[in-house]
Amino acid sequence: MKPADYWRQSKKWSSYLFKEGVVVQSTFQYVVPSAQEHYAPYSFLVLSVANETIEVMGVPGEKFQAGDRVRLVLRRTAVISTSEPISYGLKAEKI
Amino acid sequence: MKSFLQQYSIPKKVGIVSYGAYIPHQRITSAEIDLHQGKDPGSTAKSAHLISKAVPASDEDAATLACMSAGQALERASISSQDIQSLFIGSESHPYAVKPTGATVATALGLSQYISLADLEFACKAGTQGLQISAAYVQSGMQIASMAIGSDTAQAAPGDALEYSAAAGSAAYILGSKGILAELLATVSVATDTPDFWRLNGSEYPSHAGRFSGEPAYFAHITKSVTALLEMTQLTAKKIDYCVFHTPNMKFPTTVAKRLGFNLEQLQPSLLVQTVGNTYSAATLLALAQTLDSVEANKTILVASYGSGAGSDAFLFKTTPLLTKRRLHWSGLIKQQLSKTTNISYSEYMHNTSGGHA
Amino acid sequence: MMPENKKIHIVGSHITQFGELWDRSLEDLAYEATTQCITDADLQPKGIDAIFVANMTASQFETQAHLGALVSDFLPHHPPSTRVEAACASGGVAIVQACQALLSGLYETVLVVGVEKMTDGSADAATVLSAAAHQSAEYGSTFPGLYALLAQAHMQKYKTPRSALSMIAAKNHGHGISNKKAQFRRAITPEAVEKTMMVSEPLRVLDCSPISDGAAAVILSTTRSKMNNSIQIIGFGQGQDSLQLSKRKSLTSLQSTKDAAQNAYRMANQGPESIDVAEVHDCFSIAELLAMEDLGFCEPGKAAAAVLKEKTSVAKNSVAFPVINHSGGLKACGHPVGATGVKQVAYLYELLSSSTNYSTGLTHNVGGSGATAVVTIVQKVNSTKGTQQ
Repeated sequence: MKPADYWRQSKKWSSYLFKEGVVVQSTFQYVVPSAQEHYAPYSFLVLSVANETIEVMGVPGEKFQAGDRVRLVLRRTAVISTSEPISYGLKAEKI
Repeated sequence: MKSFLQQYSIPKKVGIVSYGAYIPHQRITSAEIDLHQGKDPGSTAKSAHLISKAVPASDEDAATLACMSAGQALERASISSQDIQSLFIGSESHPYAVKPTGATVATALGLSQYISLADLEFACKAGTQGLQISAAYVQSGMQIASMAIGSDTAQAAPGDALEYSAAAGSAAYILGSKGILAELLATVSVATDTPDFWRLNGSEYPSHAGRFSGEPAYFAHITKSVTALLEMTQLTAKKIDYCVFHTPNMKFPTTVAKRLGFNLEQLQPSLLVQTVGNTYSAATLLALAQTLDSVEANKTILVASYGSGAGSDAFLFKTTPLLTKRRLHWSGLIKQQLSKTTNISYSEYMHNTSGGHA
Repeated sequence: MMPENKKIHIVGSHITQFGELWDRSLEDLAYEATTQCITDADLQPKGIDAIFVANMTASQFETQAHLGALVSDFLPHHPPSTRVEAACASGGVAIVQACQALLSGLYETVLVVGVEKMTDGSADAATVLSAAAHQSAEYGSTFPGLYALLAQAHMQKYKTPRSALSMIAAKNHGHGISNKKAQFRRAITPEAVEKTMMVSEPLRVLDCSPISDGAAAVILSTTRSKMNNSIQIIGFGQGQDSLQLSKRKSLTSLQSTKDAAQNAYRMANQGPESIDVAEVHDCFSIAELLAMEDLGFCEPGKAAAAVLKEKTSVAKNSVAFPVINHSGGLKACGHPVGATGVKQVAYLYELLSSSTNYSTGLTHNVGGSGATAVVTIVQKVNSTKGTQQ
């Protein structure tokens, strides 16, 4: 993640951190983008959180079903590259 | 020495107003590590009383672990997160050599941008050093509240003895002067240049001096800081209700407790190293948290951390009725976190702790 | 409605081989499609008034932007040339842009070329293709992952069985055997689909279209037409929806397809019942299932039943359904992203020209997880009698 992109994204973390929600739909991805290879396999989820529907990664290895209650936590979101700051973002874990 | 120690006074009331703990749920057993070190599976559990250790997920690091314990502390706190005016995170595994973990954590938690902040390093005592600094900011009247976190995803070289204990965890403490759950009655620190354990810039794994990390290091510094604390407070071990010591393993805290005149009953509530391992900068803070999770009001707790390189922070706390009252409504106590664990294989453990580089 | 005085005739086509074409560069493929199409149309190069070039990934995979200029350079008179990008719907949108240009009266004969060279960067193809999704809102997703979410939703709501997806993949591979240009020309069984590695639950490797190189071109004209049996684009429509799945009203259908189809049917004055043959966007097996419902070939939730009875296959086609993906679809013919939408029109042009079995065809081209969709309706019209054959 480029520095300016990281900076814009990081301003949104505190409004979502530890928010609870419900899984609308989930798929468990075995083949993932190269930047996320270290975390494979992981779920990709459509979530209903507060009054919004958002899409997030699940924490590594966890499978979800529609209706599961989850909480958003801060985790690394991409492998480390020396030319960019460490990517962090919100992922879902089961409550 | 008497007059020098008398200067370590705490003129204003200050104490722990909230705390939180986070231990990742994955475990690798010492039996699994025995297999990979060519030993009899179960032999290390028998000899060193180390059964398992906590392993971070592949996407966790000291910053994300710090967020988790800090989040729990904030959830339990009666103060506003905006009142936290400083943040000190102690770790041996800060994600960056240059760029503070505290900045990432403060941003994620939505703390005020008007904040004093810097990362700390003093091996396993960086977290408790932060606790002392936070207490100083508050009791000086300079700040309303301050947060100290110890957080580590500790690394050990495959095949090394430390592989059995180097673990991951985090504990966060909010210090303030109102709504105190455990009052800080006294604190003192010692530090000397003692090379028992170190990691050079650019090295992935630390080096250690074997048995040198025992008597001249751990035992000498804890004994010095605790003796000074007892002198300052005119107390003896028998007059104190509980004790908490840094836990690099089971043997060291139980031995130093005995030497200082404490018994196992006083130490027991703090012990989690057997199944969690040594969480380095979080170790003493997690041991204190487990004690605070269970003890009654109006009990005194002596805490002494140890950081290689080397030094020790000693504290005397006294719990209040507010602690036992508030605790009734809390979820996620350490006991509950420890009841939901998953054992993983050695290859999963290596993958999770390999750092995820491109 | 299509204006009375302007008909869009397809007067030439060319589809290159689709596949892993190590010895063909992006430029080679675009050149072949362009020049062979002009030859097929029996035209002089200067008869081309303008060019529309469809491509998604050339600036990432090949670090080659400015494709309009690159293709215009193939013709000595350098006609005005525009690159069009709409992810996997680039080809379809280029066709729409060409039709709009013709109907405006500004041009009389235009060339549409779709080209993609993907195998040079195949190690990172998944990452480049994920550019079709919303970069920040869908970070960490994959293309198969997004369609897998649609599959999960459809299976949950309608109890669509896994076997229906396998049947679609098998059918299209069966069709591909007869298509000389197809990347894969080997039959597979539905059971074999279900034994391949899981990519993103429930989609497996053989539910997914491949990484491919290829190009396709058509020439559209309002003034020239082949004598007798003119093949015309009689209707087209372009639909849009939110880029990210989480903002869609439904995860069991693509509104962009529905809107594009509605516009195309209205312009053509036709309905889904008049479609004999359809080239639909089966980037994943589930996508063809959704298309059957969204294009109006059957009611929502009912596509699986038709698929399991093979009603959309060449061999067992039922009169109530069109033959779907006669070419092998994206699944077996291959999916060089920018080329697909143009190849669909080119393929139907060639099929309708040569076959007496089909007279009205439909193409369906989708971008990303359904943020863009294009539908065209192609019909064989007897130019002397002025009626449909």
